[in-house]
Amino acid sequence: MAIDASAFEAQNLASCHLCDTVQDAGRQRCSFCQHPLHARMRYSLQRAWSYLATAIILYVPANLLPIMTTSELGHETFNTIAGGVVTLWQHGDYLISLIILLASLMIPLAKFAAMLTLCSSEQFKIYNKPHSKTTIYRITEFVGRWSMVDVFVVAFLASLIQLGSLMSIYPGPAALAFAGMVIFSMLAADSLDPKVFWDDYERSE
Amino acid sequence: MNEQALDGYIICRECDLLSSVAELPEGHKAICPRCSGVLTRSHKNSLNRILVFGITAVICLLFSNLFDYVNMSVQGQEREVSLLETVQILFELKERALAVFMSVIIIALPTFFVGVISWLAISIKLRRVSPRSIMLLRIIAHLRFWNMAEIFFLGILISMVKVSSMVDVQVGVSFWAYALFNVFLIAALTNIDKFQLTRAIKQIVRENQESLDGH
Repeated sequence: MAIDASAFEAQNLASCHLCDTVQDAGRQRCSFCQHPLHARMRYSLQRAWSYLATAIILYVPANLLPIMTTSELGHETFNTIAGGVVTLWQHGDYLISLIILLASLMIPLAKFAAMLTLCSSEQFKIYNKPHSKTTIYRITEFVGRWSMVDVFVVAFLASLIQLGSLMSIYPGPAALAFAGMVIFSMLAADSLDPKVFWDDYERSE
Repeated sequence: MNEQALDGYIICRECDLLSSVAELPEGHKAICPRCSGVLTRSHKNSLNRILVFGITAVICLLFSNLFDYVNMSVQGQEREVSLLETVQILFELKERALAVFMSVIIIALPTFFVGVISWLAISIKLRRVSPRSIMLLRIIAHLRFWNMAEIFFLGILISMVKVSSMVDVQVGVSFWAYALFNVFLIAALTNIDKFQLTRAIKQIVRENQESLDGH
């Protein structure tokens, strides 16, 4: 058995997504648990593209609209994410400021870049480096969820700080856009099947 | 190759390489020779650990709903908020989408997780499993990344720093219970290896089938 051969292409074998039973890829259903059997995730690339596009579109309102409104003695202040980073920095909370800058602004952008690289390299059959692509995929899958931290900050502050006209904090429209952006970018990574990176690898051997 | 002959094989989740995995000694892991991803990991005494961590997590979850979660004071005014109230207030503010999202991520999903994990561990111990039990493992493996409790904690810490100049925020007993709940949930999750548990379930299902056929 050659070491550089995918089970599907070399031996026509597939493992059940549900119970991991290795079996003939030609079967319609798993021999053990009767779950539908597919060697690759279906419509993986199409789904990844559409989720990614949705996430990128949502990134715009998430950053332009206010993420929270602070109302203090009748005086209302609207805060955007970038504004929050600047305010925290000016107050001397450098660490928190950097965490938010990283989690809310940089990580989503890095994730878009990574997913664009992976999706377009599959779409146009370029950048045939499965090892690097798998590494990029793993990092993307792991860090994406940490962007959610700003949504939690807003939701938590809004439920805690409700003192009527003295001081109240309300979530802004960007909070929802931001949550949607993170959810859709997680779905994009979820729906991309890393096995396809290795299919072209063998053809090039 | 017939079906039984493929029993000792695993196909890499990430690069689709077929490897044979023999019985792993406890505490060892199998690495894919092509992409270096972890194929499967055999945890020491995993079933008992999952059960203990799972049940401890359930108890902590109960405690986290019994006491104060956080309280704040500003210019003589005080306010206490419980874990469920943090979500309830968002509903009252007519932020329904955000409220639903928060209830799912910080309450429903973690609760569902500990429930399913404990139930699965008990049913494997009692050998009352069916191929459907594997569905639960699949759901756990799939939803793992959607459990964002540790990120919620980071969020709370950031919130406290953000408003520390204006209000005095203090955490209560329930907050620590919820923190412990998440520690035990993560401890239970790290002891779950889909391949090893699936293999255990399959074996029990086959043995049950054989003893049925024998009668």
